[in-house]
Parts: sequence; structure tokens; C-alpha cells
Amino acid sequence: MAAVQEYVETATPESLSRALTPLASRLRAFRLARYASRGALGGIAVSIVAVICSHLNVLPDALPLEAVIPVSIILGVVVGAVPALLSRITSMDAARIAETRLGLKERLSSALEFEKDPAASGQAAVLFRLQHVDALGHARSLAPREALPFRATWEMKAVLGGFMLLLLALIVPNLPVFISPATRTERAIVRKEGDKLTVKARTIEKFAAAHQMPQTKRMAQDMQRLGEQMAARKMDKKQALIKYSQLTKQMQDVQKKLTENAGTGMGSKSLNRAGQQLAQSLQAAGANGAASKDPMTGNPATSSKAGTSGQKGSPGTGKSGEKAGQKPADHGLNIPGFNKANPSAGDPNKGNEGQPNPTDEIKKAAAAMQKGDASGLSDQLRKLAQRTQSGALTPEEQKQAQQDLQKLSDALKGTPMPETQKHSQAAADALKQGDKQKAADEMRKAADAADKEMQQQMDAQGMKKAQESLQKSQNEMAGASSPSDISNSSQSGEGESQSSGDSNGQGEGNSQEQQNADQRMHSGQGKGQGKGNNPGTEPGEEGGGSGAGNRAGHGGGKPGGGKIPKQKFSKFQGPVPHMLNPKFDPTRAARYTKVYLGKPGQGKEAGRLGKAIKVRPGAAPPGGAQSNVDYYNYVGDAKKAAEKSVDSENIPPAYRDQVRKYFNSITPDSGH
Amino acid sequence: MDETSVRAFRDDFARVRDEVGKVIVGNADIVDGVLICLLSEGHALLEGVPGLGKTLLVRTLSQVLDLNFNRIQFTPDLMPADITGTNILMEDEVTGRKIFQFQPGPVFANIVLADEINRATPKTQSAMLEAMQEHSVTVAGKQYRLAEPFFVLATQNPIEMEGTYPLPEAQLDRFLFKLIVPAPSLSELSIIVDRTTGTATPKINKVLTGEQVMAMRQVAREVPISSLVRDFAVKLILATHPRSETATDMVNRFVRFGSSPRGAQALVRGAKIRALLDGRYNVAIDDISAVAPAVLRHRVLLNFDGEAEGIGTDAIVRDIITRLSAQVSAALV
Repeated sequence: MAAVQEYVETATPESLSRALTPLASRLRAFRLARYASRGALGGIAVSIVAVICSHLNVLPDALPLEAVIPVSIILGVVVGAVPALLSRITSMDAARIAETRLGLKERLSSALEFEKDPAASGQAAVLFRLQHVDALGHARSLAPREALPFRATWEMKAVLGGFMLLLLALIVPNLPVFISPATRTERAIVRKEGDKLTVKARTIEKFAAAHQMPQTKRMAQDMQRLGEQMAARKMDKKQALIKYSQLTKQMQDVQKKLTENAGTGMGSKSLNRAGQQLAQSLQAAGANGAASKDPMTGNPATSSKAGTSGQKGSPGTGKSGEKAGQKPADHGLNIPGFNKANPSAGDPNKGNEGQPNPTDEIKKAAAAMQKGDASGLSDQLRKLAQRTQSGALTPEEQKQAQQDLQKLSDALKGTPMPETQKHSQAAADALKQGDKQKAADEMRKAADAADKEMQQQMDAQGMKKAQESLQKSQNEMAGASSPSDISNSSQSGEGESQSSGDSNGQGEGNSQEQQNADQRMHSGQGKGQGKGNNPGTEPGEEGGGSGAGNRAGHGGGKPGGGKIPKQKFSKFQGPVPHMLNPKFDPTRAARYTKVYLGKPGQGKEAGRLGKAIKVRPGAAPPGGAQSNVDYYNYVGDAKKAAEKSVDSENIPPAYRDQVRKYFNSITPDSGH
Repeated sequence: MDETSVRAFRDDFARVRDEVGKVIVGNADIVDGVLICLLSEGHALLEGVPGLGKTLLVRTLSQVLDLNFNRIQFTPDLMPADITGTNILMEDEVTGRKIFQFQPGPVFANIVLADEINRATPKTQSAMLEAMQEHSVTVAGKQYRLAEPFFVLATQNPIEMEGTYPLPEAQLDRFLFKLIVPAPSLSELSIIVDRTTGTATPKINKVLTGEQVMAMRQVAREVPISSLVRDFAVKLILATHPRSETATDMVNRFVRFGSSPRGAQALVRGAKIRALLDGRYNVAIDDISAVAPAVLRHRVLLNFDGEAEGIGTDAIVRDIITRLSAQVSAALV
């Protein structure tokens, strides 16, 4: 009876469950550890597969090992732990565990079950009560550690083994004994180039971010990612070149899309040229066509030779500076001089009485356009819109504005700013019809369009520069045979022009000029100041851009005496070069490429390089050299050499097909 | 029933065992098995070669318990009426008329020893069926109840011996346990020799009355069993059936017929006694496993392959228990 009395005093339905709570908690922790271990095991398995794929070069770039391994394992642990957390550990579970481990012979589980049995609650159910007392006594004396001692489960052991295996998979293939010296060298090259590319990409990204060039920024980020991968991963040259090719293709696609967005088929006329055209037409009207010399700059020759200036620069004559000053490039840089040379131009109320003065805003817009400043254009259009809408324009001024807007529209034709041109034209038409409100609206639209199109152009140009940087990096890495072959500077465009002036001048000049352009773009410098006496040999003196090849080899002119300033581009200071500068005109490089033949001349034109000819890329020089070998006798060998190059990784895989196609197309039996 | 009777169960059981142990040397499991059968309201079949003390055990038990005891020596010419009793023509002393009067057979006792039961013909063996199952005898259309507690202890010689008739399956199924009496060990045999060849005769005391036995039976019936343990017993029985869902390979290969539901009943009843003897008030899987061989060895019928291979039913039962226990453990974590 004592036991029953004890039962009545101590046992409650919850007593047994409460006594088993510590054991249930321990069981929950164990289950969590076990399930998480299973998940981790899965994650490790995935990681090992990823490592193997990485070694086999079949791991997608989007899944870098540095991310795949931790993410897989963490994800596995989480996925494994979730069921353990969600599954309920009942007192019955704890009871069964304790019974099994401690040999309690179903005392606890039976008691827990009997708690819910109606038969057990009767006064006559002596055996139920005795059983409960018995179970409760055992449960209270239960030591969770004894029931569930820590034991490494097979899952935990497997996780440990899996980690070891993963480490082996990561480390062993990269041990020196498994890597040939050539591969090591390649990787060192790739790593070094990767570091450089990362720095370069960061610079481009900062620039792009500062100038709101989203696509360029994105591509720069991709470049940076590639650089980081190259620097961090054990990547050989072949893999790196493949990735270069992929990124290049990606950039080309984006650039093409940007160009299309900016106005397909709208020609390649630059904003500067459009500004010049507008300024001329305004001046022609404002100055009554009496300018014997350029009223804007004071220079006699204007844009008739735009883009070709410098060809006539005669380095070494001492006057070359003046001649060089004829360059339209200098016009662009001498906008302030416009007002000096023609003071009345700055004040529509002065001079040229009796003649209609150009609208001040349009005049300023022209000046801005000549600087390549599309934002200036948009600002002036907005001001004019405001003046038009406010009714501040007199009928004469309104008529003049209409005419000036028409000129602006005409000047913008052929530029990659079709929307601006369209709205300018619409504004002119509206003014003509006397609809000031509509005209103002159109002017604002034109201003908005100018901003937008300028932005897109900048983005496209930025993309192009990024692509060039990437290409340069690719070339450097492809040509490097040891890490020392790769220059340490990621800003290799610094310093003076290295144009040699010999027949190789074009190539070297291109490279240097491109580097300078890169530098200017990166540094925000490069506003040209080389007006006047500068023989016009400074590549990119009008700011960064792609007109790299135009002045190739000009540096050869400097030995000719006279005051030819040293060409230090780092000295160039000024506003950020505009992307619509003619030097960014990609077609110019193709249309106007100069090649200097021979060695620096003697005599009168001392220091002058050999004869300069203007050729299109790929075309033979006029009256060019005669080959001593029939081309069909040579093309076979060339093709073989090309095939060899294709096979020997020097040519990026993406371009191999093109090389093959090219040689197939020029082999004699192919119909050529 | 109160707590006192529950706690007295083990003591009473121990006293009976001790008293029997005065005569029977060794064979503690056999003694326990017989007592479990008695308290589980079942009957026991003892199998062993002659001379192992089977009959002595039963007789001793009857002496320990204050109960009626009859012994039936089964022979090939034994008739059913010789067991159950029969109506015989009697003259009424008062009226002088001739009347049929039922003369109870030896089965009318609390403890019946059916010695060498497999020496009788199946017809005679079957005479025990009703008595064992229904605890009654029907003669000439009239049913006679047997006094409680009614407990049949049968002994049989191994079937392979000459002049035996294998018990029919229905008859076998009526026995709760089939206990195999082993030959005594060296030390046990020495003691047996000493005890039986000397002058000293152990004095057997009656330690339990029929009422006490009935009370103990009641206590045993009330031992609770959890669903987990009950399911284990059920699965164990089902696993003895070839081609059943839980049948082991061994069962599928060597077993012809599995156990009847009486096997499950026997498992639980026997396990309840074992739980009480172990000081517990709940049935455990271990209890089921412990009584399973005795419960199933005469209920699982081997096929030709099993017989030919010499596979014992005990091995098959152990195989099933091992498999089921593993399943129960695997479901824990």
C-alpha cells in the first residue's frame, strides 16, 4: 500500500514526462547533430564534385569554388538540420531511447502509454499504478548522459572523412609534384595579369560609376571578377584566354546593343563637328559672311580638313606649331578664343547692327557642342525653352530663335543624337508656326534627349575602352612566356609618346596612344592644351578617345628643332574628355590611318620621318611593294603556321574559327 | 485484488519453485515454464526421452499444490472413454431400477498428467481436446465442467522413437508451452543419483491452494501490456507465416505453416507472468522474446526442406526475434 500511497502523493500525469524532459532535450540535440551531419555530408559530396569539375574545367564561371564549397556545406547543414528541428521529440521517444540504452524493459514507454489509458485511471487498476510508480522511479533516477552518451555517429565520422577528402581534392592536384613547370609559369603569368586586370577594372568601374555608365560599370565588374579569378584560382593560360574571349564577346554584344539604342544608322558625325557646323552657320549669319578668317578662333583654316590636320604639320620647320594649330582639334580647345577673336559674338547687342544676332542660347550651345559638351547643349536648350515659354522673346528674337534652332537641327543631322535633332526640328517648326508652348516643350524634349543620348554614347565609348583594355590585357598575357614579360603597371599608358617614327611607328603609336587614351579616361585628364605651337603630334590631345591610330608616328616629328614641347600627357589638365570627341570616332581609325615609310629624313625637313601615306587598314600602300613570292605559293605555309598558332593556344579559342575561315577563304582553290 | 496480492505473487511463485526444487534437480527453466503454464491458464507439453524426470516433475508439482491430481498413462489401446469417463449402467439401490450413471474419467482432476501422450492413437489423444480448451467434457450429450484450476501436463517421447503417434496440430495448439526437457548435466546427475539412491526422502509441503492459484491467475491477467509490446508479439506471430509481409527468408524457406492466433495469446499470457516474476508490472519485449520459443516451437510446422535440413523451430523463432528487435531499435533515432 505504501507504493500506492507514494503514487498518490507524488505521481501526476505530467511527472513522468517532466522527468524525461532533460533526456528529450539531449536527444533533440543529438538528432540535430546527426541530421546536420548528414546534410553536411551531402554538401561535402557536392563540393568534392565541384572541385573535380573545377579541375576538369567544366565548372561554370557562375559557380566559383570559393562560393560553391561553403555554400554547399552550409546549405547541406541547414537542409539537414531543418527536419531535425521540425520533427518533434516526444517523451515517448526519449523513453524508448532510455529503455533501449539502459535496459529498462519498456517501463517508461508503457507508463507513458498507460497514462492515456482510461482503464488505468480506475481505483481498481492497482497494477497500472504500481507500474507508473515503478516507471517514475526509474525516470527520476535517469541520467541523460548515461542514456545518451556522446558517441560519434557514422555520419559524424563520415563528415570528418569527407572534409579530409575535400581537402585532398583541393590540395593534392595543386601540389608542385603534380604541376609541370610550364603550367606553373602559365599560372604565374595568369595570376599577375589577373592582378593587373583587377586594378584596371576597378579604375574603369569607378570612372563608369562616377559618370553614370551602367553598362560599362557592369562590364568592368565582370572584368574585375575575371581578374580576381585569374589572380586567385589556379587557372592556366588556356582557361584564362577562353574567359577573356567570352567576356570580350559579351562586351561586344553589349556595346552593339548600346550603339543600336543610341541611334542606328545615324552616322558618325561627332558633336564637335556638329558644333563647328552650327557655329559657322550662326557666324555666317551674324557676321554677314565677312569673315576672312575664322571668326571663332582666329585661325584661317577651319574644318575643311577636320580630322586630317596634323598631316600637314611640318615638324622640324619651326612653323609647324602654327600649322598644327589649324587643326580643328584646336578649334575645339580654343572656344574661349572665339569670344576674344570676335568680341561681338559674345554680346548679341553689340556690333553687327542691322543684322540679326544669333540667339544667345544657341550660340552658347554651339560652343558647348564644339567642346563635346552635350550637357551644355541641353542646358542652353532648357534656358531657351524657358525664355520662349515666358514670352520674353520679341518677335524678332523668336524668328531668330526659330532660324537658329533650324540650324541646330541641321547641324545635328548625322550625329548619333537623332532624338535631339528631331525635337530641335520640331521646336523650330513650332516657333515658325508661332506655337511657343509647343516649341518650349520640344526644346525641353530635345534637351532631355541630348542628355540621354549623350549618356548612351558615353556608355558605349566607355564600353569600347573597357574592351580595349581587356584586349590589351589578353594580348599581353597571350604573348607572355614568363611572369616578367608582363609589365607591373596597370596604367601602362603613362609617360611620353614612344613613337619611333620608323615604319613601325604605326603600331607603336597606336599602342601608346591607346594607353594614353586609357590613362586619360581613367584619370579624368587629357583636356588638350596643345594649341598653337604644338606641332599637333600629341595623340589624343583633345581628350581620351579612340582615335588612336590617327596620329601614329607623329612623335617622330619632334627631333626637327624648334620649340616642340615634350609630349607629356600627364600634364594635360582639364575637364573630363567628352566621349563624342572626334578621336572617339571609331570609323576614323579605319578611314584615316597613316603609315610612315622609311627612316627619318635628312636635310630640310630634318627629323621628319619617311614619307607619310594615308591608307586604309589592310590596303596596300599606293604603288606599294611588289611581292617576290607568288601569294599562292606562300599561303599554304602561312596557313600551316596559322594552324599551328591556333593549336598552340596563342590565339584565343573564340577567334580560331575566324582564323581558319580566313585562310580557307584566301587559299587559291577556294576561288580567290 | 490489492497491492499485497500483487507483491505476494512472486513470493508464492518462488515458494512453489523451491519446493519443487527439493525433488527436481536442475531444470529450473522447465519448472518455471510449467508454473507459468499453470498460472497462465494453459497446459504444458514436456518432451524428452524417458527417464529425465518429466513424470516426477509433474507429480511433485501436484504435491506442492494442494490440488487433485490424476495420471493417465497413454498407451496405444487407451480409449477416449478411459480418459473422459463414461456412462455405466448402475442399479439404483433404493428403487432397484437400472440407470445410466456418469463415471468421471481421470481427466476430472485439477492437475492431469498425460504421460507419454503420443503413445496413444490420435483418436484417444483427441479426447483431451475439449477438456483442455473448454475445461469441460461432453459424454452422451451431457457436458460436465471440470474443476478449476484445470491443468494438463503432458509428456511425450521424441517422435522419432518407436511406437509413437505424432500429436495432431489441433492438439498441439492447445498446449501453451512445449518444453524440451534436457538431459541433466554432470553435476545435476550426480545430485540426482545421490538423492534417489539414499535413504533420505525429501519432504514436500503444499504451499499453494487452488484458490491461491486462481488468485495468482487473476493477478497475471491484469498485468498491463503496451501497444508497442503487443505489436511486437503480433508481428512475431505473423512473421512465422511463410510469404507474409514480415516473414524472414528462413521462414519462407523452411516453414510450412505458421502459428495460430493462440500463439499470440500464449505469448502475451506467458510474458505477463515473466514480467511479474521479474519485478515489473508491465510486459516487455524481452518477456515476449523469452517465452517465444516455448510458445512457438510446436506451433510452427516445418516443411520438407526444414525437416531435411534439420532446422529447428527454435532457430527460426530466434531469427524472427532478431529481425524484429533490430527493426524496433532502428526506429528509435
